[in-house]
Amino acid sequence: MHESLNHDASPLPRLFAAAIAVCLGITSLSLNVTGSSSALLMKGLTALLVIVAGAALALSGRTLPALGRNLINGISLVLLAAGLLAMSRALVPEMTAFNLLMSGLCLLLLFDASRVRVVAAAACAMAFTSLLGAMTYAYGVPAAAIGSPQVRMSPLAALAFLLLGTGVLAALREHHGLARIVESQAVLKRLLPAAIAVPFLFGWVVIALERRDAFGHELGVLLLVAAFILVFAALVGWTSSAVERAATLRHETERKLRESERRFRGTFEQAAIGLAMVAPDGSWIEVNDRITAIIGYSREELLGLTFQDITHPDDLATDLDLVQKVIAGEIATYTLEKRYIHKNGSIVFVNLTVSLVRDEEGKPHYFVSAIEDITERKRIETELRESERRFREVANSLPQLVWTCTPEGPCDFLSRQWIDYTGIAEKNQLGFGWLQQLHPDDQQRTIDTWNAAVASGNDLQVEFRVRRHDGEYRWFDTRATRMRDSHGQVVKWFGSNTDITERRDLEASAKRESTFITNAINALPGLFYVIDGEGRFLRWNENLEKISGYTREEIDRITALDFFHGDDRSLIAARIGEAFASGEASAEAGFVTRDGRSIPYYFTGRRIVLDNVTCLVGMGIDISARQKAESELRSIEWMLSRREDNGPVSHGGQAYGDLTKLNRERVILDSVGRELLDDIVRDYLNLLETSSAVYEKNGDYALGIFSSGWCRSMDMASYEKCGTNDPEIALRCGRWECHESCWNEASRVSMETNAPADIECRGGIHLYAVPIRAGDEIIGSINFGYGDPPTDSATIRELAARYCIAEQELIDNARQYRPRPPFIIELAKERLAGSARLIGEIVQRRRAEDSLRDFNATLENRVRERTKQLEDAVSELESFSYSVSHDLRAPLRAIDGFSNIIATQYAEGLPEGAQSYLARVRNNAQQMGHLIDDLLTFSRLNRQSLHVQIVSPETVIDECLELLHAEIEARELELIRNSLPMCEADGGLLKLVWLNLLSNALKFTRRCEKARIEIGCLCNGEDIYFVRDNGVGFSMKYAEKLFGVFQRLHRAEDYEGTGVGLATVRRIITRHGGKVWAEAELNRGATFFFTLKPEAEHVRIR
Amino acid sequence: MYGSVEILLVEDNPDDVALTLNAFRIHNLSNRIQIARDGEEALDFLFCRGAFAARDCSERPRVILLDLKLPKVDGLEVLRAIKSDERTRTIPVVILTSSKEERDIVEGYTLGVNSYIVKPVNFDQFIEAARVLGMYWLLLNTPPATVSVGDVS
Repeated sequence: MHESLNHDASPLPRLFAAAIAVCLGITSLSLNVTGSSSALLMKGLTALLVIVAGAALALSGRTLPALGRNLINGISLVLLAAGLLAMSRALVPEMTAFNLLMSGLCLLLLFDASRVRVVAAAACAMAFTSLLGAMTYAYGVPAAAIGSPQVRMSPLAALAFLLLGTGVLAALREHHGLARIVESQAVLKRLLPAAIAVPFLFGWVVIALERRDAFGHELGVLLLVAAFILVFAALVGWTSSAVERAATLRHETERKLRESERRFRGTFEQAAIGLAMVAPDGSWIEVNDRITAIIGYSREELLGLTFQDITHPDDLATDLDLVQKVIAGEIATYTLEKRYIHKNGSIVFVNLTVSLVRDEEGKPHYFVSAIEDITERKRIETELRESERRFREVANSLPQLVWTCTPEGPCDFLSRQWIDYTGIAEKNQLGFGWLQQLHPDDQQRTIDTWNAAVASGNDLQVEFRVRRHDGEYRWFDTRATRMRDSHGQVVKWFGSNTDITERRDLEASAKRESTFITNAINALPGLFYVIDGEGRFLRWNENLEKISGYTREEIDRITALDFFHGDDRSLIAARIGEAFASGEASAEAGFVTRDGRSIPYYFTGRRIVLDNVTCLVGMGIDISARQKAESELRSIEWMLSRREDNGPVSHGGQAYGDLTKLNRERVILDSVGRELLDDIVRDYLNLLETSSAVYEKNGDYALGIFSSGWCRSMDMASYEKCGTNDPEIALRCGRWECHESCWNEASRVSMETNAPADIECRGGIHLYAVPIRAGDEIIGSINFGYGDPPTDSATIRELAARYCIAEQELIDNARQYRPRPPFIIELAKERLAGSARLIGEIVQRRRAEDSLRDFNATLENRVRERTKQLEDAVSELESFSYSVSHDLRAPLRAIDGFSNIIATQYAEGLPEGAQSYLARVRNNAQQMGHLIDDLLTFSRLNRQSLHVQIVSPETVIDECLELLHAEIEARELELIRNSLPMCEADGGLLKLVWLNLLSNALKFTRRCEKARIEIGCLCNGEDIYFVRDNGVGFSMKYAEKLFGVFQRLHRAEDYEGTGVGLATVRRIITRHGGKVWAEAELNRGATFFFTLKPEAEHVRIR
Repeated sequence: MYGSVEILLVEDNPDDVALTLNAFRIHNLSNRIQIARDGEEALDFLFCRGAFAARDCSERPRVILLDLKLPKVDGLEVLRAIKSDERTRTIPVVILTSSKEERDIVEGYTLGVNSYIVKPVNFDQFIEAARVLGMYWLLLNTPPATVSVGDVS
């Protein structure tokens, strides 16, 4: 409360008083300076000091820094000095000087708490002096009345010092709680102003009235006293009630404080933990009962000790260190687990929390210590560690690999066996590192199983392989269960891994053994069985189920005898009894399957003892193959003997005539010949005694022979069904059953599929047909019938109805047929393929011979043709090749060159006529040069490739005429140009054509009086270009020679030329696929025609 | 002794040599002509080998007239050798041949020949050709600086 009162004190009164005092000082000073001096004003020095003192008072707040205090101290010393100086030298009135001293004293001691009363007295003295001074002015007391005029201070100074005094008192209240001097705020507020103001006012009123002689002096005093009594009585009465209320309030507050302290004491004493107040030196100041209980010392004993005395020596240094830190202010509080030494000498573990309480000045006052006895907890912890250590010992001594995990999964313990087994440090395996030691194939499965166990709440059981330190993976059976605390909370997974590699190996080998035995038994070729004395099956192989058709369950219920019927049944019963008696027996009997078939078997039985039960183990072997082989052997013997007895089988001569006469294809028939076909087919008839036929590609019979009684009678019967004597009609009617089977169902199918056809024929047996190929072409088919005729009555009846034949006849025929063993039929089938190949080869060879004959017939023509082509090629003038042309030109150049040199450089020495001859030499050489050039062009035509494109002949002709323009312009010439259609040609070569033809026309019209050349096209279905002239022409009998190389129809002296031009034209035209020809008449002109495309192409385009 | 050579004429036919020299003489073009009778001799001269080992190789003819059909090393081979060697690459080469074959012309230009002239059979035309040739390559054409070293010295 003390503190809070201080805090409540507002600085405003002080600041207000100081500010007004300073203002008064400044006012006086400024008026003094301007010269308007008055008795009311302060003297200059006083004003200055008042300002300084006011400022110092204003500064002197509670939170003033040291520098400010020093400043104020300085100011106060100045004031004191000024006061003493003024007093001794009478610079200011004595009252003012006194006040200056007082104010200096006040300021000097203002902050000293022990000098509060001195300051207060000084301030009061200052205030009183000032009040006195002010009152002398107010009451109009002459200055002389209070001594000399120098004594009295000016009114403004009085006011200023009054304010300063009051301000100092306010400051005291701020700083030191001066308010305690009075009973309460109420007294201060009400009585103090009244105590000052009322006497002052009443005094002034009485004096004023007396001066006016309103009443006598006695009456004045009377009135004054009466008024005082009245006013103060009222004030005291009013104030006392307020004081009463304040006192009540204070008592109530004090009561609450005491209550609070009592409660605190109770809490302190009865706290569950030990609480203590400890002096900074470590001595116990106050302790509660709990501490005495913890440490064993009584309160009195403790208060004579320090905490250092009972702290375990090992913990003391740490504690003291922390204490120092708290005192130094580095930490506010600390908590420490430490040991005290109990009075009985035992060690007490406590959890100590210490905080420091500082006094008002911030010095360490005392420590508050909270002490919690944790001895029991420590004991439990120790026990827990011990328990865990024992667990590890146990775990490490178990043969299994033991581990624990936290509920979340990471492993937190692995037994030493695990470490030893894996050879990897524990720290690398804790958490989830152990997972790396698992076989890669097992990791995911283990994780899944683990997660499932965690999710389901079940224990974990998983088998996986773990890598041993030497790299070997061994199998472990891993089981883990949850460990729960007393609340059922899972605290750990406890798991163990048991090496089960050997167990698994044993299981696997047992399984292999069992599988081996089962497989071995099942692989036995015959029947395997173990039966007991009553004939029940104890064990058997799959063959028994497969062959008998009984299921496993059925065999389980029946006895061995159930597989036998009739005599065999009693035979087997006897032999079983014999085997049990003598130890071994065997028998041949028909093994009857579920569907009633009886298969001949040879059975054996041997007595053995299995699991203390006497039983019979044995095997059954299928002897039907042996029996069948025996029967086949018998039939082969029969066939061999039959051949010898009966000779060749008769064939051919069917009643309906020879079907080969209807053969129009005749490829096979003519190529192979009837005789060879007959031999081929007879082979099958001898072997099988059924039927055989050879077909052409179109189904015509190359050969058809029906032999045996069965086939012959069936064939005839179905032929008669057709009701005609004409085999051709019968073949087409569709009722000739045997023909239909033979051709449509067997042979044609084999041809269409290009593969053997093996069918059941309509006549009750089988047909086998293969296609006949000549090269890649299928040219026919060959087939034969085989198999036993039917004997069962249903089939006989059906056949009899279909073929319109008596059943008895069929039965008789069938009986006459001796069955052929299967291998004979297989043999026949293989041979049939060979026969087909033989026929095919013969046809092929025949065809080759034919084509060779044809080839020979045309050979002569071909040779002629080829020879002509060769001649053409030779005549292509390829010999005018590069090197020849090169070499031919060189001598010409020499001839011309040297002739020229002679003619020009040696002209003077030449005889007459020599120049002319030299000119001829040169002329000839140059002519030869042209010839070579033309021939080169010509020969190049064959080597040059054609670049055919759309060309405008008119443009080409323009270019040609340009080249020839010198001659054209020199001549009188009528040139007629008809419009020409576009053509497809090699532009360069086409130009050569036109150039040759046009220069020819120019050349041969040279002697005409009216030369006329026409260029045009006969565009009537075919584009025929032409050049017509009215020149010398030629006789049509030489037309053939016209286009040959070096062919000339005119003498050189008449018309120059090399004779290559038209050959070149023809070569170009021919290369375009067109043709060139000429029409002429001697001396009547000539026309040259040409086309640029083959004739057929023109037609096609049109 | 070869320092003054302006034209290297590579020609095996003595007639053609005579005619060519005659043609040049008529026009007073140059008497500083070196004749090579085959391709090998031409290359020996140009690269200062064999019989020409003593020659100053920095002296280069201003133009080479080259026939194609030559004994030992044929004209196109000679051309290839000239145009693939730094020292001779810049010497202008004119093929002077009787061949009009397109493939020879194409091959010649492909190898970098500077001009291709077919020897005319007509001597008048031949003389004219020689004149134009000499006029162009010896008088009008400006060879690269390295070639002129010989002239300066």
